[in-house]
Amino acid sequence: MRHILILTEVRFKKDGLKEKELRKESGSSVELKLLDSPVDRKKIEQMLKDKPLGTMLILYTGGATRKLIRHAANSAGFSHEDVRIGKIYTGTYRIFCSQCHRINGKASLEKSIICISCGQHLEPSDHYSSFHDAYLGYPIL
Amino acid sequence: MSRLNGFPFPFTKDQYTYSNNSVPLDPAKTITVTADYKNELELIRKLLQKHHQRCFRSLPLSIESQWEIMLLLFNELASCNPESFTFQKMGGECLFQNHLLAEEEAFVFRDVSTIDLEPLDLVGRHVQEDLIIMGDRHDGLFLEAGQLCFPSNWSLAFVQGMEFKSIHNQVPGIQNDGFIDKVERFISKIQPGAVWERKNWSITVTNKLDTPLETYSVWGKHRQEVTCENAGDLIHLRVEVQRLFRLPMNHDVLFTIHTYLLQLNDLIQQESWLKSFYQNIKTLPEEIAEYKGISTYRTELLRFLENHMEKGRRGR
Ligand code: HEM
Ligand SMILES: [Zn+2]
Repeated sequence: MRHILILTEVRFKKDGLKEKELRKESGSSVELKLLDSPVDRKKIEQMLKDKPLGTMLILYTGGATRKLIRHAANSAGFSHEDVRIGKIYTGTYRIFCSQCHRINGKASLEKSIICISCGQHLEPSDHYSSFHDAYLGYPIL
Repeated sequence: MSRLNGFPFPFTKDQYTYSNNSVPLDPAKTITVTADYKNELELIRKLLQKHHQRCFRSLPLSIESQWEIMLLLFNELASCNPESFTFQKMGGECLFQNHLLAEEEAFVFRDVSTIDLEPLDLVGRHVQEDLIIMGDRHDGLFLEAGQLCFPSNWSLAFVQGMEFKSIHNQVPGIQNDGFIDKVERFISKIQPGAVWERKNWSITVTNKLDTPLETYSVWGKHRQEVTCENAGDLIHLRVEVQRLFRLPMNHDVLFTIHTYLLQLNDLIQQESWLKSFYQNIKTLPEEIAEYKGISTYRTELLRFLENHMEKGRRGR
């Protein structure tokens, strides 16, 4: 069986861990790494070079990071098929209102929202605080 | 011309890119008192009173470093500006006198019952700088306290408790070639007692010093109003002189930010600055221009600068 490496951003850690459990149950040798934010391409590339031949990579990241890791993986000798995209739970996220500091639960990262506290129209971003466990919502004028 | 004197003009090359432009400072001073002292302190105090949650944040574990910083800054104010400030310490008993504002602060060092505010909040009301404490923990540098009245479009409330690299997540290209990792390693190696200084710049439309993300809807809309005709009045070059200092006792890092504004009408009086500013704005990479909020009016601004350079040539 192929060795599996799961790379996950902090915000998708839960999804990454779920994947790891499932893969383990089916008998794979699997490891999970949390990515630094922001991601350093050189570091990733170096780390990938040290993995056994034929390792399968599963990514739990946003689009920009995914692209960057794909490039790093290609440079490290991974083929396109060696890199898979994990299933991210597209449920709800917490959005920190940059105008009044209210954390809006149950939001999505794709759609703009109206802050339940101050009524500001907000654009959710990928700026994540593990202290607040929330993403920053920027004002839309 | 007096406004130009002492203004920390930030451009050293004709093309701007992000770099670790920190230099060691001798003498090692963390703050500067300028002619704007009284006006700015009035504004700082007004903001702290009206918007305390926005301008001051602290985690309980920062308290020892806060005390150390209060002592450090009172000492520095007094020793560098003896005609304006005095500071005496006998045992734990301290007395700071601010002659510019006709005020004094008497307290016992590390005894919270002798002060009404947290130490960083108190000392921050006597200096023009914004003050940030980066706690140096084994797994990185964390923003553990701050008094921040004049941020350039960011939110202290959001970044409190965050790690250095995550704080910089929104800055374009900051992870290229491990840039932000290198900067973090640089900071973690700063020796106690040394001060490093760097300049960061941006542009503010109007002369507003307090431009937090929290009020973006109020000040951000002025970016749409810039024209080739009014740029000289509206546009201000905003420079942050930032200093890093490792606290000898607690080993955390004090980060001070002194913000200066210079109206474009004043800047263009100095021919070399006009040229340099023009070159830098013209060649600024689009993603940085976008991040700094310049994209909306870059063409208008450049046209204004070109007109003035043309005038200068004809005048000679
Ligand atoms: C240790 C104290 C520091 C703190 C607390 C800090 C914090 C910040 C914050 C909050 C921002 C705005 C981010 C946003 O838009 O959300 C920023 C921007 C930035 N920081 Fe830092 N920073 C520190 C030190 C440094 C150092 C030492 C460097 C470089 C050598 C640096 C380089 C930058 C750059 C290039 C930007 C973008 C600025 C612009 O284009 O206007 N920072 N920083
Ligand atoms: Zn709100």
